[in-house]
Amino acid sequence: MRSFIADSYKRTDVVIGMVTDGTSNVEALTGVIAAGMETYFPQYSWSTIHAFVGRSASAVSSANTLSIQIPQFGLHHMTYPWHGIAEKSNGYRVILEAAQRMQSSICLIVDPAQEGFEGNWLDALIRPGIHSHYDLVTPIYRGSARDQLMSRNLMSPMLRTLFGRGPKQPMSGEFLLSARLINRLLSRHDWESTPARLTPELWISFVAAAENYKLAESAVGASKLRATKPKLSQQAALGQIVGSLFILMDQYESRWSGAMQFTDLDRFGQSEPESRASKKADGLEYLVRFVESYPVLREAWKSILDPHTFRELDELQESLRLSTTDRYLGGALWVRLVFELAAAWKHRLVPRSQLLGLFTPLYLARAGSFLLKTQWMEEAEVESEFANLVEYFEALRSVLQRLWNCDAEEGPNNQSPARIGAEAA
Amino acid sequence: MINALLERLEGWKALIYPEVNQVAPRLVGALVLLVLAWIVATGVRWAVRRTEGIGPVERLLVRSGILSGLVERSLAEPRRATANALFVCILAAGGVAALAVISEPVATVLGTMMVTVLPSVLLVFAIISVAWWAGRRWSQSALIWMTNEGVACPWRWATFIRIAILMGGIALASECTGFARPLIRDSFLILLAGGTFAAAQALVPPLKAHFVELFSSPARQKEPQREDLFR
Repeated sequence: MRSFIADSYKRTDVVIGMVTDGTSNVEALTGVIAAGMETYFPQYSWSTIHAFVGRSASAVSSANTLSIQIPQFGLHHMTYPWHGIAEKSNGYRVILEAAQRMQSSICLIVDPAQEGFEGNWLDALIRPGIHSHYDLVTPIYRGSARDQLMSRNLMSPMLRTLFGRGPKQPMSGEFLLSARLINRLLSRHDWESTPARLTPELWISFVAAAENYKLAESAVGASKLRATKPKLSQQAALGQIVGSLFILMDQYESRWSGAMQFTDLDRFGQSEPESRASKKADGLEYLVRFVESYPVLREAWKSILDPHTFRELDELQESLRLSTTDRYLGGALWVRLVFELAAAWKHRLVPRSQLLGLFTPLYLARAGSFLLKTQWMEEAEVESEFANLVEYFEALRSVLQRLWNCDAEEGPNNQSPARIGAEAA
Repeated sequence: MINALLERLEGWKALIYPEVNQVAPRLVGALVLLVLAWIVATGVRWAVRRTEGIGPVERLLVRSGILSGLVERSLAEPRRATANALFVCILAAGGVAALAVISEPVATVLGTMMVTVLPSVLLVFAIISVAWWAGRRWSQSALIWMTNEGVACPWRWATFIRIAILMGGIALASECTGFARPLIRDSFLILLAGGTFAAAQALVPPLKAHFVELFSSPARQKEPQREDLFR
């Protein structure tokens, strides 16, 4: 593979990579990129790399074939036989290897399903990397923060809690990597691990935050991801994401076990909030699903949550069942639920696959509560809600550490998860 | 009259004394052995209860969930269960030794029975324990999965899975020991056939869609897009 790329391509300043399964309109996106590069960075040499993964009639004929295409050099289509699973992470890997071989100083990854991508996104994402030498630049999308439920309610606050800083969009499909971070990622031996395979964007963000790489965020336009039929069920998708987070937390345990100073990431550009842009529903259907799940999973939650947390959950369910809509799954309870479930995962209080399944209705309850609560809020108020949530995460960081590190098999009179959870409550 | 009575008593004494002389030391010996066994067992139980931490075997038992059904979730309980198990084992060993002192043939018969029957009993116990554990674990996994997927009546399905696995264990145990083999095997096969039919109705498309439509709540039929929730 390495020699294949080395023999084929010459040195390039900027590599722009896209991983696609062949269903996206890559040609149109390449046109936008070409125009954008011509406008904003005419002095730099650049090339685009399309990594086709998966089965596609137009790109590859076999599911286990990964092909790369570099239009800039006039190579219409070259197919490289890939002896592994043709999936997104392998596409990223090929792009990064190509960028390394081409001695590129930065590599921008673009999601072909992102229909909101415009030429000025290149300026926003590439400039901090080229001029300020940031290792990872992630976007801040224009538009309602209510549309970023998973990132803003869980992933971003968790990264910030663990390492003192974290991008608002750690799972975005568009991000910029420096040569230093590319080298580090390619030198790693866990490309076949669950987080790298299933949630490669989160894995990259996590590695960058945990290993003290320079992170920055840059404001871009509104995200318009092409709607696709979900390949996975909700619980499978959530299990992959949350499972990857817990695995990475375990892997980097030594990096977040000490005290931490919280800092905001350097930010480029001005994000433009939209007053009432979110088309998101009120979240009632998620709350209904939580209430429907509750009687069945009640005992399972009771067995892993601390009694105080469980009592609050019980009360919440009861008030939701009685249609008391002024009760939400608030920030404090949500943070404790996340931390206690993370500790339960760590200590295997229940089998891990079951635990991730138990997380799904709780996340739906949080998502539904948040959507319902912020339904009529202005964007500034929504941001304030997120800021409050982040404060809860930060304030309870020591609780997470104690829950995570305590021996689950110590008696309940010692440092058991239940006791620590009760103290926190 | 009195003399006759005394003579008869003397006769009984002559008859009983040798027996008492012969049996009494054995009874005393057996009693001493039992007391010794009880002292040792109590000492071991006390010592085990006082030790801190949990050993690897207990850790395995707790994590596997085998103990959790017996002792709920309290993490101090496995130690007590181990101590009590050791207490009973030592006391039982003392009892067998005491029985051997009183009557060697009875102890021999008992020992022979234990040697021949005990492996089968242990095998059955092991198979059924594993089946019970697997049924509990998989039924719980299925319960969570089906609840999240919006499958109707998850409790019933989970219970069915648990019963099927336990029944499979019992059928396997009966196969190994030869106890009521045809009856249990046929029962298990009938159960399995019924379950397979129901599962096919539930899971195989297009039957699955029909099933979901029939039994799911309206809120669950409208699946939101992944991008809505996981961004």
